[in-house]
Amino acid sequence: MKSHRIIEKGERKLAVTSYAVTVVFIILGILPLVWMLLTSMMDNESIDATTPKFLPDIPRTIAITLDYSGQQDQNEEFYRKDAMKATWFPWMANMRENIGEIKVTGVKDGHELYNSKTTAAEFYVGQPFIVPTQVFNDNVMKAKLPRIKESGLSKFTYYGQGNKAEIEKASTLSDQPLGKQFQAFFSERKLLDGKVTSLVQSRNWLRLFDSYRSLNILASEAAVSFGFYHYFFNSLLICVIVIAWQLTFGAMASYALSQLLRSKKTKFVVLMYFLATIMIPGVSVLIPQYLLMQKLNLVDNLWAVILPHFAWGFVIFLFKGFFDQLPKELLQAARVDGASELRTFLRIVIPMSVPVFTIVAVMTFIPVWNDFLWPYVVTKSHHNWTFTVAMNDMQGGRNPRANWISAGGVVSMIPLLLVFLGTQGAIEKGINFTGIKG
Amino acid sequence: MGNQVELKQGAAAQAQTQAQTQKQMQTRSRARFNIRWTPILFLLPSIIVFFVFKYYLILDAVYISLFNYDIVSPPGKFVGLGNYFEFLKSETFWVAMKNTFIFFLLSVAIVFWVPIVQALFLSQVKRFNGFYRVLYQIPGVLPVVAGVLLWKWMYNPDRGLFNYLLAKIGLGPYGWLNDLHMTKFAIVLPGFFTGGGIGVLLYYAAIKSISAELFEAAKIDGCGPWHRMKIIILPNIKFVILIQFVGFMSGVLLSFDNIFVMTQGGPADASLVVALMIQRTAFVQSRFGISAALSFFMFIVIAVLTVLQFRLQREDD
Repeated sequence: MKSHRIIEKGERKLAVTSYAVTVVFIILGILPLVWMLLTSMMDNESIDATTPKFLPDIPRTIAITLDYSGQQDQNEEFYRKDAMKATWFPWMANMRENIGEIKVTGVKDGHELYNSKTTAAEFYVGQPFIVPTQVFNDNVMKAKLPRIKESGLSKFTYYGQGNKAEIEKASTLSDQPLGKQFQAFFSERKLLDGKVTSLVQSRNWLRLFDSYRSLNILASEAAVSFGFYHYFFNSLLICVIVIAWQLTFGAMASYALSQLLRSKKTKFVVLMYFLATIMIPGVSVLIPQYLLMQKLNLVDNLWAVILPHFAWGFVIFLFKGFFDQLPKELLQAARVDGASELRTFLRIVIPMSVPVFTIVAVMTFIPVWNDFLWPYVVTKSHHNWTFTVAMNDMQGGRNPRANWISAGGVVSMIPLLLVFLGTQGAIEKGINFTGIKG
Repeated sequence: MGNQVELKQGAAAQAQTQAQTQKQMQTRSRARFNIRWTPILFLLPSIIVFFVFKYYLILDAVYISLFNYDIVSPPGKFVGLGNYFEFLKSETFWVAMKNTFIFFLLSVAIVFWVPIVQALFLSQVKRFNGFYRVLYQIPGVLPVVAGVLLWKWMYNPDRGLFNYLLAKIGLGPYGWLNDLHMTKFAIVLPGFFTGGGIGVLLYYAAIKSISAELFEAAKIDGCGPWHRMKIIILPNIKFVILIQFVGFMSGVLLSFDNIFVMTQGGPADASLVVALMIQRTAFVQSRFGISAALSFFMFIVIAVLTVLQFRLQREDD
C-alpha cells in the first residue's frame, strides 16, 4: 500500500539511525550476558583454550564395564577402590577433554556387582584434593577413598555377589578418539583389578548444566547446609524483610507526614529529619556502624545486614510524593464517617497506592540484592554470607573456574530479571508520578 | 438613634465572634492537650531507626575521628583534628583523590552520556518501542559483583576473551587490569556496555513529556527532524541531565564494589579511591580514627552534592 503521508526530508534517515543506534546498544548490553550464559555451560578448558570455543559442546559420557570373573571374592571396599581408580585417574589424565560423566559397572560371572557414577560437577570440585597431580597408583587412591566417600563425590552402589539378575555380556570397545585414549590409559598403567570388557562413549546434554551443580557442591564443602543456593536464600531473605519493613513502617511514616500532621512547621521539621539522611552515604558510617553492631552483639548475624537498610530517606521521599497527591476529600469523608486513622490507612489509602508500593519494593530490592560492602564487612561465617560475598570469595578461592563464576552470575540475575519483567509498567508509570530524578 | 441600633448590632456581632473565637480556642486547646497518638505511632518506628542508623552513626563517626581509636579499650587517646591532618598529609590520600578524579572524568567520557543518547534515539523509534525499553533494562539486572567477575575473566591477559579477539585483528596483548595505565579505563568500560538501565526510562519519560505542539510548531517553521532534536529535545531535558549529573558525580565518588572486586585498588594503588581507602584503613590496617576522619570528609563532599541536586530538582519543578 502506498503511504499518503508526506515524508519529511531527513525523517527517514533519522528513523534508520534511531533503529540502528538502539539495536547496537541493546546488542552491546546483552552480548556479555550471552557470553556468560554460554560459558556457564562450557567446560573450563574450552573457555581457557588459546582458541576459545564460543558454543557449548555436549559433554561426553564414558561407560566402562569391569569384569572380575574368575577372580577371588573381595569385599566392598576393594571394588569401590577399583571403580574410583577407573574413574578419577583416567579423567585427570584426560582433563582437557570435555567429559561429562564416567560410569563404571562391575561384573562378576555375569552378575552385576556394583555400579558407580561420577559427574563433571563432582569431579571438578574434588579434583584439587583427590587427584591434584598426575601420580596414579594404588596407594594414592587408598588414601583418597575416605574423602571421596565422605564428600559423596562419586555415587557407588554395591550389589554383592550374585544378588543381581544375570546380565548380557556386551563387549563393545569404543573406537572414538576419547574412548581409545581411555583404553590406552588402562592398558598402559595396569592399575585396575577388573578387566575392561566394554567401553562405550556417548553424549549427555544434561551435563551441560554441571557448573550450576558444582556451585552447590562447592558450598556444601564449605559446610553450608544446602549449598550455594544458601547464599541466594540469605540475600533473598534480607530483601524480603527489608521490603516488608519499608512497605509497612516507611509507608506509615510517610502517610503521617503527608496527611496526619497538621502543623506546617512540624511537617517540615520531620520531613527534613528524614530527607537529610540521604546525604549520609553508607561508606561514611561504615566504621561506627560496625562498632555499633559489635556493641549489639550482632556482628556475623543476618540482622546486622538487615537493620541499617530500614533507615532509608529515599523511600520516605517516594512515598510522600505519592501520598501528597491523594484526594483530601476522600480521606476527609472517611474521617467524617467515623473511621479511625489506621482504618482509613488500611482500607482506603493502601488500595489506592499499589503503584507506589510496587515502585518502593523494586527500588528497595535492587540495592539490597546488590549490596556488597556492608555484608562483606559484617559477616564472617559462610552460613551468613550473601551471594555477593560468596561470589567475591569464589574468585579468590583455590581454583576459580570461569564456568562456575558464570553460572553464579546467571543465577544471580534471575530474581531481578523476574522483578523487572513483572513491574516494567509500574516502574515507567512511577517515574512519571514520583519524579524520581536520581 | 440609628447609631445606637448600629452599635447594638455591632455589639451582638462582636459577642458572636467572641463566642466563636472562644469555641475555636477550646477546640484548639483540646487539640493541644489531647495528643493525637496516631501520627506519633505511625512515625515513631521510622524516627527511631533513622536516629540510630543515621544520626547517631554520623555523630559517632565524628567522635571516633577525634581519637587515635583503640578498639580494645575505646575510645583511646584524644588527638583532636590530628587524624584529619594525618590523612591530608599522607601521600596515599592524594593518590586516592587523584584516582577518584580520573575515574570521574573517565566515567563522564565513557558512561554518563550513554543513557541520554539511548533515550534520544529511542524516542524516535516507533515500532516495538516498549520491547526495546524492556531490553534496555536487562543488562542492568546483572548484579554488580557478578558483572565485574565476568568482565574480570574476559580481561584476563593470558586466557581472556578480549586479548584473543584483539589478537585476531592484530592488536595486543594488553595487560588490562594489570596495566597501571589501563586499569582505570578497564574498570569503567563495562558501564558503557551495561548502558543506562533505569536512567534510559527517566530520560525517555522526560522527552515524552515535551508537548507535541512544540514539535508541530517547529515542523511548520521548517525545522528538520535532526535539528528538532538539537533545539527542542536537548534544551527541554537539560535540567534532568544536570540533576542526573550531580547524582552521577556522587555515585562515582562513592563507587566501591566494582573497583574492590576488580582490582582491590591495585596494581600499585593505580585504582585506589577514597571509599576503598576508608575500608582499607579501618578493616585491614585497624586505624579506625583515620578511617572515620576520611569518612566524615566523604560525608561533607556528598552532602554538598546532594543539597545541590535537591536545589536543582526544586528549581526544575
